[in-house]
Amino acid sequence: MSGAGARDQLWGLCVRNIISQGLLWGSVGLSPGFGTRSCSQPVIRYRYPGSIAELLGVSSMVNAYSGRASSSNRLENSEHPDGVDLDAYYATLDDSGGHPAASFALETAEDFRNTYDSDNVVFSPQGRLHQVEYASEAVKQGSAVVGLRSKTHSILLALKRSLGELASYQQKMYRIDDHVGIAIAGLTSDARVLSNFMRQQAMSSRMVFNRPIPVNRLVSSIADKAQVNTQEYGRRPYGVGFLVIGQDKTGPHLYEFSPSGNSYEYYAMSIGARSQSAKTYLERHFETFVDCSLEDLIRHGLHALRETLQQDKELTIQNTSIGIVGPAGAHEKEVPSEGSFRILEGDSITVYLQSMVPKGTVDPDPEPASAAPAEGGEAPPPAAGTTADEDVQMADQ
Amino acid sequence: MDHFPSAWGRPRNDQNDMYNTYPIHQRPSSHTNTFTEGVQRTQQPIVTGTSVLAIQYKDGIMMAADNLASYGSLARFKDIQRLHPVGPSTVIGASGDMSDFQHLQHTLDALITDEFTQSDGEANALGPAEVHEYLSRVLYSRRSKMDPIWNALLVGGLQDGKRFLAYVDLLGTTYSAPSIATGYGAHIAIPLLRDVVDGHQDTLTEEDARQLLHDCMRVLYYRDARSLDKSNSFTASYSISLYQLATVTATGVSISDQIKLDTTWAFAEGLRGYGAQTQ
Repeated sequence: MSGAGARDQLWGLCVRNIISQGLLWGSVGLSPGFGTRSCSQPVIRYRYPGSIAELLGVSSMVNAYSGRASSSNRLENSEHPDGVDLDAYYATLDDSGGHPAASFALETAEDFRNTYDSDNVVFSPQGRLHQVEYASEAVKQGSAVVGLRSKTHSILLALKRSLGELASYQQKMYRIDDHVGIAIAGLTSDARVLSNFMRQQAMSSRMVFNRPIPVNRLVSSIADKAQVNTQEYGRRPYGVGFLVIGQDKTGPHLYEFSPSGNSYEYYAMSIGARSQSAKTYLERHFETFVDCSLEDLIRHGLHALRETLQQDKELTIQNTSIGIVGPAGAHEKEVPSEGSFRILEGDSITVYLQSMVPKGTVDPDPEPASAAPAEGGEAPPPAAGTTADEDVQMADQ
Repeated sequence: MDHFPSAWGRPRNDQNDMYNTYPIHQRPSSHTNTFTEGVQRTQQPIVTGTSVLAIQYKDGIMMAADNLASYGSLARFKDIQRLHPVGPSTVIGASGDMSDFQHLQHTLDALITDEFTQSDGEANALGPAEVHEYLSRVLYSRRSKMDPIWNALLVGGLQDGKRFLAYVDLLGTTYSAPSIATGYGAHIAIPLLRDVVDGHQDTLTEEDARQLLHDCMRVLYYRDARSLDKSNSFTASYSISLYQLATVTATGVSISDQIKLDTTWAFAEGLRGYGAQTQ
């Protein structure tokens, strides 16, 4: 460990020397060779902008070094290939309004990620903790989980993975207490440890105060626990994210917990592999969730979960599980009156899978029917959802 | 025969052979002697408070306790408040050892402060049922360590519009009833309280509740002795003629100023040996 640290410090010195020389000479390039990057061969591409015109030519470099800590920034850059984000450039100037700070010379944090990512306790120059971000990457490796809530219910839907034909499907949902349940994405072993801790907290509240633990406190307790692992030397962040649903005096709730130690409350959320597609679906429809019945809420959740599937896969009773907290739904039997957390798997979810609208017909931005039928009034295919009907503009005859 | 008087009356310690002159027999040091450790943990209450009364009435809970802390048979501290508000909707009253009650007050205040730092508003505030459960866990665990918190406590309040009144003591015993009292009040006042309150909690008005508790406190002042046979001094408890009333209603907890009891001792004049008789 100390060896790597010493090596990093050595490279730090080398980099600074090279930059100071670069300032005098113009551009310096060190090719890594072999097409791969490793800690031992950092690439420095540097230009000293003498004019705005030259700056425009290196706009992509400016955008890449924006000083903003969000990785989504890179997506924004790709949306504006021809534009220049001058704010980023101005942000790098020092207070005298003069030349950019020397660190601007470094192309992006990516090239020097390796220098700043070996320890949990080292910030990068952009103010990021790379180890914590890598832990979030572990969450993105897990299969997708979707959560959403209405006025009366909160639900979780999880896509279970199996290692092969012979293996069973990995359990994604855990019951923490009568009124709280979680779904996990990421390292299962870390999930077990954290869910055990949550269960202890919930039991303690019931024993000492004779009341079910308020859900926000339960989530805060694991968030604080996870934060410790992002700050103490030698500890690694938890590699698992949770979606937590629960109900307490203030109604049903949905929370997301991430390895960074952040927890937020959501109306709807998705984590895991290809969860962005699910989030897109949820963003379009979340305003209708508040007044949904349980069956409609589950249908929306299944549609969102379906978005995360790969090309030839579909939701089946084996690979889907649904967690519900709230009063009993129309298809449920023997649910306690308090609406305790329960997990539905296997045959009991057939009826919900059948309620899904076939794929391709639930499309909020359908294109106008360019191939309008010659006869007026020909109906669209019978399987189409009402959304498609309303948006289709029949061409004038 | 044990030749060493310093070991007489103490438990035998076989690690020392007392029939040899070497090593020289020594009194076992206190840090290794479990018997003396056990003695240290057994307690007796020193400065004590007497009964606490509490009833449920139409608008909530009413609790009464006088302002005396006795030092054995000496009426030592006459301005002690034995009623304590906890959070927005709970009041506790304590009889028994007053230093243990002060410790409980600090512990509960710290608990309320911790709850405040959670910053999740009134919906999750600790109500009387939670405070009572917490106290019963603490008291029972201390009793199980043979180191009791020597109090008998009444916990009362309003939670979601429902009245709550319960008892918890140094053994961890708990129970709940429309009218409860501790100490001498349990013997003298409970029959008077039950007659009026039990079954009529929803119709008993505040005025009637105040009057009932006032009458019971007066009876306790008369009967909860001022003069006692000295041989019974360790069971002595005393009242004084000043007490405080706490009420918990939908508007919150309020603890009154000291209320003076009106008493008549004129009958003593007619009794031989009492009063200012010359004969």
